[in-house]
Amino acid sequence: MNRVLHCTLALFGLALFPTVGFSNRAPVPVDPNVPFKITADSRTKQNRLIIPRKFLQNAGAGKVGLLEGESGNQAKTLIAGLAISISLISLVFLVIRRKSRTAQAMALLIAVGSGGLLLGTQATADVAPPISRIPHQWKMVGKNQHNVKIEITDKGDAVELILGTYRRRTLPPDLREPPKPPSDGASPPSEKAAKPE
Amino acid sequence: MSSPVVLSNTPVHPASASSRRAFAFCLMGLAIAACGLAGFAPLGFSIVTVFLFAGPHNWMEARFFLSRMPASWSRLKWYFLLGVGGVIGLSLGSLLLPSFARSWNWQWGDWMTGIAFWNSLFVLWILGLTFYRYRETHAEKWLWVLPAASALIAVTWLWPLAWSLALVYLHPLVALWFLDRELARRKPEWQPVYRKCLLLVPLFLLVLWWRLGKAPHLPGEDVLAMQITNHAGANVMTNVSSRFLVASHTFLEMLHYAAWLVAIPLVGYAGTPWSLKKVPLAQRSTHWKAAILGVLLLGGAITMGLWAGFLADYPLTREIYFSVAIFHVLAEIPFLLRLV
Repeated sequence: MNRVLHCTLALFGLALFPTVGFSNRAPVPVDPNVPFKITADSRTKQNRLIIPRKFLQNAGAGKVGLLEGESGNQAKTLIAGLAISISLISLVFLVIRRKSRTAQAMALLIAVGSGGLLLGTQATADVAPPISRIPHQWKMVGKNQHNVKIEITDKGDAVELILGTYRRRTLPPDLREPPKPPSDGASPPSEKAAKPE
Repeated sequence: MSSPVVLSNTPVHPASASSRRAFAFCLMGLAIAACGLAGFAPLGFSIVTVFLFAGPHNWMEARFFLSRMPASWSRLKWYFLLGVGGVIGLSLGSLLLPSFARSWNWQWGDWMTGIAFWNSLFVLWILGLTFYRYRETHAEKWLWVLPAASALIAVTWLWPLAWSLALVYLHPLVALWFLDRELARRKPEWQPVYRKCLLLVPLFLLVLWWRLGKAPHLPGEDVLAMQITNHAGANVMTNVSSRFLVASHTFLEMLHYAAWLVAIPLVGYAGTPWSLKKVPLAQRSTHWKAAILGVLLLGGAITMGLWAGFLADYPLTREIYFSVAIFHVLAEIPFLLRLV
């Protein structure tokens, strides 16, 4: 019974660290000195990472149109996660079943190894610098707009991160959108706008 | 008064301390020579060892497996069917993977998925074989394969190339495991000495690392040099000296060849390798005997053909050989599991 409790506690302890994102390691470019620049665009909320196609080809990805989609990466991570789960669960059952110290030591070793494996698989992008090095423009990005849209281009000699720093209050008056007409409540504004004059 | 227990199927030959000492000296001498040659001339040693021993060691392996295959499979039918089916299916899969890649215009990510898929099938195949072994023996040790295999599948999806590279380096060690099992069966008095010598293998690798770990990469941009360095993993572990990688891989390969060509026949066969008296399958009928003889003659012809190919076009023959060699890598697994 004690062993069951210890194992449950250990698993609960492991479950306390779910906030770290895991994924496959990004392909390392042949030339790691890819020029990188960060700019701010106060006219949009959308953050964009613009990557010239030639850098992706150096990274071994080939034609960008045939790049492995996000779903492919997710499937790999899912399979690996399932396999690790099966491994750990079967290990716990075997340790409970067998009461020798050697088995427990081996199980502990495998558990530590699995933990190291998980920590070692954190995403490491070689293109973008760590978030702490992105200049003060990042502070201008709204709290709920931290997603980055990746765009591939045929032009350009540098990877460019464009931070969408749009905020209504910060825009100069000439760039602000004109106020929308008040809705009459009978139909949504979008439908009204769609009607011909 | 107690008497020593001798198992009926475990022939124990009396061996003097001097024979054990001679065995240890031979092992040590071979390991030192292999380590020295691999360290001082990695490329040259690799070329020569593959040329001389690649074909013959496959022949000796086939001969060994024939001697360990029971005449009648009976209750082992499903185990051997899974074993043989897996060897053929996975070998074909490995050979056809580049063709699939070309046909479907695979990119980097597709390649990684393909390799991870093949590696997963390989692990699941081993898991299936161990399941039959568990059903046969009810030994708890086989249950431990499940967590290990699951963890390996996770590794192969996270780092497909690293797993494949590990296979390249672990394969030579399988021969040393075979030798250990054969010693336990035929010459148990030599086994402790052998195991002590095995502990020196990591030491030799450390010596190679100490001398070559920081050495400059191997020179040569020709096809053969690239083939050898890439096979040792230089294209995957770019931060490690290719000189060390080739030296350590060639050192392990040499031990592998020595185990199959000298040590295992010396310990495992009662007669000469070409004698079929101790091959159970050959005892079934004259047809089987003729078939076994045909297989061995064909193996001999392939060995001669390999030598001729190496002399005519070494890089091309080496490439073909290492593509086909997956067959013998896989064939070892079912027989090893029966010995463990």
